[in-house]
Amino acid sequence: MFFSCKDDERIEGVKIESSFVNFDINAVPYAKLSTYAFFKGDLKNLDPVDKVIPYEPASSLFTDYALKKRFIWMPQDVKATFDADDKTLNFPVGTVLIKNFYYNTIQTGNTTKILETRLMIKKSSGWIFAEYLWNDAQTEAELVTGTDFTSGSSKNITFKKDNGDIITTDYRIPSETECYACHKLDNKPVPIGVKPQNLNVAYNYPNGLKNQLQKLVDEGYLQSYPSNIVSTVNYKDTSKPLDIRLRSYLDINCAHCHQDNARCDYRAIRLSFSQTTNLAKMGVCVMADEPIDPSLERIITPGNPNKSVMHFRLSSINENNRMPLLGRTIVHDEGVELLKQWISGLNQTCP
Amino acid sequence: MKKIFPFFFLLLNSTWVFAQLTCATAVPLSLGTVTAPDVTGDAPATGCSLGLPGSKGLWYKYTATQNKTIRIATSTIGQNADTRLIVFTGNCTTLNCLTANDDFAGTFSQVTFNAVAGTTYYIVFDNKYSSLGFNITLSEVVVVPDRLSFTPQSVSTGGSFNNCVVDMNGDYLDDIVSVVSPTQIVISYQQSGGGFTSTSYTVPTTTITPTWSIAAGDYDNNGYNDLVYGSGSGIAFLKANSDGTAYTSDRKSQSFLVQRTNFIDINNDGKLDAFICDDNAPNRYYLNDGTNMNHHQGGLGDFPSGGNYGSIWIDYDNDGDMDLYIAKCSGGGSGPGGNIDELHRNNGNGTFTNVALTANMANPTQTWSAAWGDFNNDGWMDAVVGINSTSNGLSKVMKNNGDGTFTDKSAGSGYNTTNALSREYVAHDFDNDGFLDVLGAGNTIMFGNGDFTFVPNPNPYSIDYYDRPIGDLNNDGFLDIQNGNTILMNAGNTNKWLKVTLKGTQSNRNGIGARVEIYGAWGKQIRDIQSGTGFGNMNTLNAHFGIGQATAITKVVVKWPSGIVDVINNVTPNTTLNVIEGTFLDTKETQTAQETFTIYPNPTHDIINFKATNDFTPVEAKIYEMSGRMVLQTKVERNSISIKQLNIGNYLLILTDKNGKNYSQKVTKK
Repeated sequence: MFFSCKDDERIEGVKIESSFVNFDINAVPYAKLSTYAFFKGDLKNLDPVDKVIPYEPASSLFTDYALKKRFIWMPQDVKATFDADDKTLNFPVGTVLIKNFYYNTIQTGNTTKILETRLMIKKSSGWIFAEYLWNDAQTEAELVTGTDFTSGSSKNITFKKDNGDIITTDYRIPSETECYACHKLDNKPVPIGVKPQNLNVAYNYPNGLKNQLQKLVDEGYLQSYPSNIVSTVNYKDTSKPLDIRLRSYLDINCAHCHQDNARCDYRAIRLSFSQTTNLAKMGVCVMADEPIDPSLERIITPGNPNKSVMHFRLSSINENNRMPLLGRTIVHDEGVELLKQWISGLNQTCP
Repeated sequence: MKKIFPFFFLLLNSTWVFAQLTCATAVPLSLGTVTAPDVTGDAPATGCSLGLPGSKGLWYKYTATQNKTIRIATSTIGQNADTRLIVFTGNCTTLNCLTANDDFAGTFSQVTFNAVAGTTYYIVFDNKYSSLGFNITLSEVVVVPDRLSFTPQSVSTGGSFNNCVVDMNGDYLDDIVSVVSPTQIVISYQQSGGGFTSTSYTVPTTTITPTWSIAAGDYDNNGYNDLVYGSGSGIAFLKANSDGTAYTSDRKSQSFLVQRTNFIDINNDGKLDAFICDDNAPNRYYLNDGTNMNHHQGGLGDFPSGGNYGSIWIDYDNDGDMDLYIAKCSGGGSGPGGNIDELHRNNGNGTFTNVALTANMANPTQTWSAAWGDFNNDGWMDAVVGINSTSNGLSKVMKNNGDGTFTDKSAGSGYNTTNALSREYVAHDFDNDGFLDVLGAGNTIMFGNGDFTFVPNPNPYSIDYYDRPIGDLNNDGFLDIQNGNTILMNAGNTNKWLKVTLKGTQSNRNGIGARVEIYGAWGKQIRDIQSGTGFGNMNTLNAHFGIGQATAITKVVVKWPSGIVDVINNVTPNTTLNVIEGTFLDTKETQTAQETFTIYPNPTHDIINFKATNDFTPVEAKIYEMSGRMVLQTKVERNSISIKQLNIGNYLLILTDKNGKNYSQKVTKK
């Protein structure tokens, strides 16, 4: 074996280790999204290079009807390991999670516009957040830094919903601490969606449908996974049982805060998919810490959405009583409808 | 289908014979139980406090033959009915809401009210939640009377954000601020003869509403209060023009999740600054340079993930400057959490030190606000740290020991036996008995006994859970609570009171941060003037005291943030005392306060000498005319200054030492 000077080795190392992606863990986050070379061709096409693997959790978080394209990348020769069905995969240092937020019905003219790309990068010290804002020309996304990242911002947008409604809202670009508010477990930053329970479902890759966990294994990104994962479903899939759909929806939209050791663990409910088999943890018949009025005191009143605080909060856009607190400014009609259906179908009598 | 129509028409018509279906044919009730059929009659026009009515209703009535307390309750006839019960007075043309209830026990309703002989009460049920029949029981009851009662009075506010009661036009009468939208506010000005006159203002470019909190203060010292809105995306200032007839806005660019907001002169330069709780990050504050409110972050509660909910400024160590307490709430995890409350001692030099741990105030209690006040009238500010969740224990009653530490007096306090929750905990003397009470812990007032024990009103009040600003809205010396479009007017009692209103000249115009003391048979009572108490509401800036049955107030002392001390002797109870900074100077009082520190000779025509002490060595002197205009500013050398250049007359001297401590005294040039 022969090695030349260290500099040469490092340059060569980067080239080989990252295939086409440019990643120096000591230099990231880069000032521009394009520098990573996650995508080939026009940046706005979000066409991933080799080893930048798309993924999609079975149910997704509602963020004002924004569409999302998510990707994962890891350095060569390292891989994630399975921890538990409901726990984020144990990712190696150097892992990058890439989440692009866009609309394809921006008015006028139903144009496509990417607003932001959020990265979570695992460094040896733990996960960091990097926020990139796209320019109007859609040619580049710039890193948000300094006081721009200690405070958030908003972008006024007008888009069309699937049902034809035209919505104008101040789309929220989070601050670093707002990222952390949701991505926080036991006082450490963590990813949310990339749990085995959410990825144990097929994705339509360019060369065909495949289970996403299997794909990660095939790519050398995941060591292995068990065959009996208790999994969430797509809440939109009406062929699935109503309660499983709702529990999947609550998991991805609410459980990052409403779980042990997270932001809202001082409240009674626990909304992780692995916990909500217990109706009390969903709030059924549970008195809310913060009643809304004398008729709206239980988190969920069986058979009566109008007397269920959870339904009230999901239906509210008032910042001081809506839920989720962060990440939405408008009502998710389909989510509220799902909750309403489920509550209406309950018939137990509260003590 | 056409043939069927007349049939239905007849059927509907025929139902009119069932009496309880309309107001005009309401069925008289008497003591006892009757069974109501399915709810198929006319709906009431309103659900009163229950909101919108259902689409159908049932009508009953009760005419009292003598004054009695009447209870009406529904119960099941073996099916899962879910009733709503609304009681009106008046007649079928004009019905007035009296009381209403939805779920008193399970899905059944109950109301209790004082019926007046000869009055007819309309008792209406709607089908909002179910159309099934039920039992109605009417009974006479003996209820424990309210310790203090409130009389609902309608007020037209105009907006949906009703969390601000404060004087807005400089007449010291509390007004009602209602925010309609990001571009509109309605101010209902309290009239000197009672009642309100509303004015709507267009406020451009605010872009936000006070969804989380609102605070008021005159940050440009022009005599008209300005506002700060706290929202989920930062703050906006609303600034009153020179005569309070228009508002401009200053929307700040920093976007973050705001909780409590306060106006407070953080650096004691005579100009109000704004302190802003950040839910997710270290707190923010905006320092007033006389032109702009400039953003700062750091030094006033820097827990990385925030958890800052209820900031309140008080002088807990009686050193003349305002300290900061932060009621905190946050989820768990290993290591120190963002839920540990903080107490930041003002070091008097622009810096603050979190002393919560040594003070015994670093509680993990999940709290959104704490009520601060001198609950035992010993001259030191105590606290009720109120819970919003029971997961880290119940509310705490903390006694200020006067030595920088606090003792937990929760055991036996009354707060140790309630797990009622609130966002808002505020200290006021609602029954004017001379002991501070706390509005907080569900919908009741916890009446203070002066010994760290509190007793709830026997019956809960009908108050909004969130929007409940407090002020004297009929200027009768008893504090009232605004509840949206209803004012809960304090029905009062025979206790006496005093209100003290302030006008700062060297200090900020509102006197925010001033300590007001009153003396009499009770000993001493104190208040700190605060903008932004509780969690989201803005309450009156007027200092309000109850003095029970005492008949004399021997002395009122106002200690201003500037260091000036005004003393007013023999103040008449049941009056409002307006104190303009520096107009009631009392040489004896200030000398007593500073003990051995003296100045001489006084009067003088040239040199004034200072006899310094270990505690106070002046380094700078400012001299003001009694009008408030500064006429001399000079360094103090060899413990003396010259006032030879001044005209003959009375002046106010303010001395400052190297720690920023002030001493004020009236001096005479001869």
